[in-house]
Amino acid sequence: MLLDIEGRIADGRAGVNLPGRLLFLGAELELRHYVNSDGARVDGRLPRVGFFGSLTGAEGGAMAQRFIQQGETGGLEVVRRVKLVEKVEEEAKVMGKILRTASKSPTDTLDVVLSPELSGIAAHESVGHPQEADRVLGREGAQAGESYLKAESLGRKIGSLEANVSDDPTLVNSNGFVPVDDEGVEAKKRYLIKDGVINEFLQNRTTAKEFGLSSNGAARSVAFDREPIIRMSNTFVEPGDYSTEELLKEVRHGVFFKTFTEWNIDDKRLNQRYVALEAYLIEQGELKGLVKSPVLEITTPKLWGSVKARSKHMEFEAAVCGKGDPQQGAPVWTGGPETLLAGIKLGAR
Amino acid sequence: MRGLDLDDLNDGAVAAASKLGADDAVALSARGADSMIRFANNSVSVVNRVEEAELTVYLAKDKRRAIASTSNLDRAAVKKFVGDLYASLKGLPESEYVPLPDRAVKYAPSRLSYDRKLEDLDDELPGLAKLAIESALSSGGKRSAGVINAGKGTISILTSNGTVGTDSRTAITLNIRSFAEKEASGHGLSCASSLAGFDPEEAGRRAGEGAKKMKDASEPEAGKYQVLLSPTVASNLVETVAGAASAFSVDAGTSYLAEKVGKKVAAPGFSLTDHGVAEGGLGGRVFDDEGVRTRSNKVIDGGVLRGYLHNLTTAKKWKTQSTGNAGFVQPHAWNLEVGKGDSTYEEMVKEMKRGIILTSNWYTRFNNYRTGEFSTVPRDGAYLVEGGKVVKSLKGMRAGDDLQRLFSSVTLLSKQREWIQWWEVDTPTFCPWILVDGVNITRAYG
Repeated sequence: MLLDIEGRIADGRAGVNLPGRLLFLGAELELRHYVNSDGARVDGRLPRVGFFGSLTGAEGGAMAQRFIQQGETGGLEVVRRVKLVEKVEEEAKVMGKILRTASKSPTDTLDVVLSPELSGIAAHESVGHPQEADRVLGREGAQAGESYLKAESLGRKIGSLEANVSDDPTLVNSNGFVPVDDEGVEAKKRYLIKDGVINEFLQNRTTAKEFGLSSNGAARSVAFDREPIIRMSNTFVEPGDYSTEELLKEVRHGVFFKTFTEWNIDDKRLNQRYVALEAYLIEQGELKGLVKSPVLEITTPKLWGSVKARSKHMEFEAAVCGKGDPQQGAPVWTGGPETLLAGIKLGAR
Repeated sequence: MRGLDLDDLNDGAVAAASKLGADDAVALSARGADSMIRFANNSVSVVNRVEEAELTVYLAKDKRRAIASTSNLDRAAVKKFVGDLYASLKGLPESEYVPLPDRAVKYAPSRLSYDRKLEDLDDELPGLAKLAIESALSSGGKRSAGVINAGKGTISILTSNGTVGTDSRTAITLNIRSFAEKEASGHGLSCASSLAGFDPEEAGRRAGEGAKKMKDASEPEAGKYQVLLSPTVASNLVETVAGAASAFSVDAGTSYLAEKVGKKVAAPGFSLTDHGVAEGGLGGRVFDDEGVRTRSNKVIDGGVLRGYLHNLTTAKKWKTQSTGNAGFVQPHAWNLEVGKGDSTYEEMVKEMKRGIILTSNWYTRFNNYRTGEFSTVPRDGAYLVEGGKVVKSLKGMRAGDDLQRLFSSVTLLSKQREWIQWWEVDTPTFCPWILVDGVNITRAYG
């Protein structure tokens, strides 16, 4: 499969010079046997497939880099079902267009449309992480950090009525499929932000007790000899009722962030940055040309307070979420629909 | 685990590979015992001891190569593991293949960074954590979170050409953050290969004082600043330079150091060396994964890139010798050392007309590894300096640059250096304070 991808993109065959190509494909089988004195008994067998690719493009003195990650629970049939070979080839073609045609990005105040990929990373970084109850209680202070939220923040309004973000470990075939957590608690969907309000934290048994609640099944460990800690599973912006076309029509002047490269966020999860790779100018509701490296650097309340509309078109990306000491990389999905943010000041690299 | 004989394990794996007909075989077996104590809100939250052993086997046959690891070390299981790995070779395409060196090396058992006092420290860890917490409390931190890791590790190698060796080492690290009030935090580290070099009180004091100073912090104006990088922050960035110096990164298109050997990539006063073994070093060993003797390699000397880090395969491709940095797939650094300067910390601050001191950072991410463009998020103590004096504490910012420009803009390095290894720095790095001109500081627009 990797050689098939290589055959389609090497030597300029995708219409772009790619001097650097790094392709990984991994398949794993996770066997899990869990018993506790509370009556839980779990026998799990979970195959998982993951792909990571780094494409480095260079044309006319310009360079660009794209990191592609895909992953699901399942066997190697997943690779064909998600059309991985065609997807990577298409990404290479797009990189050529970016290198040849992207113009300077606007940096004024405008509307921003986040693609499913951008909606997903924002949901993961600035909603999922700060709503992990162990961070809220200070347990991860020296490593992954704490949270801008406090225990009493449940019920606080943080976004617009259109801001709805959830974490759902029950999605079959997902990268973050965890039907029963590693404290023997049956997993369920968690509604993290509901109609703009902080609705629920991710809890394990210990933190839930401190909140006077029951665990919502968020304890995960990546190996038998690692501590189960609070983790996300599949974190996403909930879909809305617009078609993608209808959503774009709402924008007079804006930028569509389709894919991203650089991103980071502070350890309270309040100040974040996403730099787009594939991004388009939107004028009068229509996608125009590619623009170069627009930067969304924004606080969490501003981001979620600016959500004006969401499409019904959902997509998910695979990721490995880092947390814990020693580090425990957990497979997750991030995703969502196209999300329209109104009145955003952009920067550019 | 304690009865596990690494040499026997290697013998069994290489004998099985040779019997099957492998052209080359390497067995690397490792055993470690690590104790950890974590604390949060001034109280112990987790105590953990992990004893692990693992065998990694490399096989080559007819230019096909495979590598795999197992923790099932039963004799029969190892034989089956090697058999399965050998069988998997048939399904692989030919790859770039370089035979192991003809000459066998018999390494004397190495314990260059080993302290018996760190072998079993479980009973001592609560007391050491208490020292750090109380030091932070008495220095202004109201509540602290942190972790102490202490442990020992032994790795043994046997190759099908007869190279054999064993290396053992110990390490202890403390990472502590103190919080004085909302958003006011400070950071302290202590990293050593011996108990005598470990100073939890000093790390706690730095964290507590840092937190106290961060009260009433405000956001800076965006713009270009002189930035004074602490050893902690500088090590995080230096580690990415070492990653870019791996020949694998150059081949994969993920190195900003591509096509720059012999060229200026940093200021004349900046040098970077990787040591296979280093006095006080927390990492490394006397042999690499291919059995090649490790050594000290000057990566950047006088601001000029001297060469890449190689294993046997990348060295052949680049028509040079292995630098003793295998990784079967990816050459990597062992212990990094940044050359010292001749300034004190106080002198460096006095040199700053309008600058920012950064004491800790995290989440360094690249826009493009090939160009070296990145941004990183400062955390804990950060201070605005005007006219050589600290005038206020800062929060809510981001530093962005490209690695070549940043290291070419180094103006001063301190005499004082520290070993750094923590959550954000995997490769142990001996690093000074570094003053850099013209770093771009940004903040959220809304």
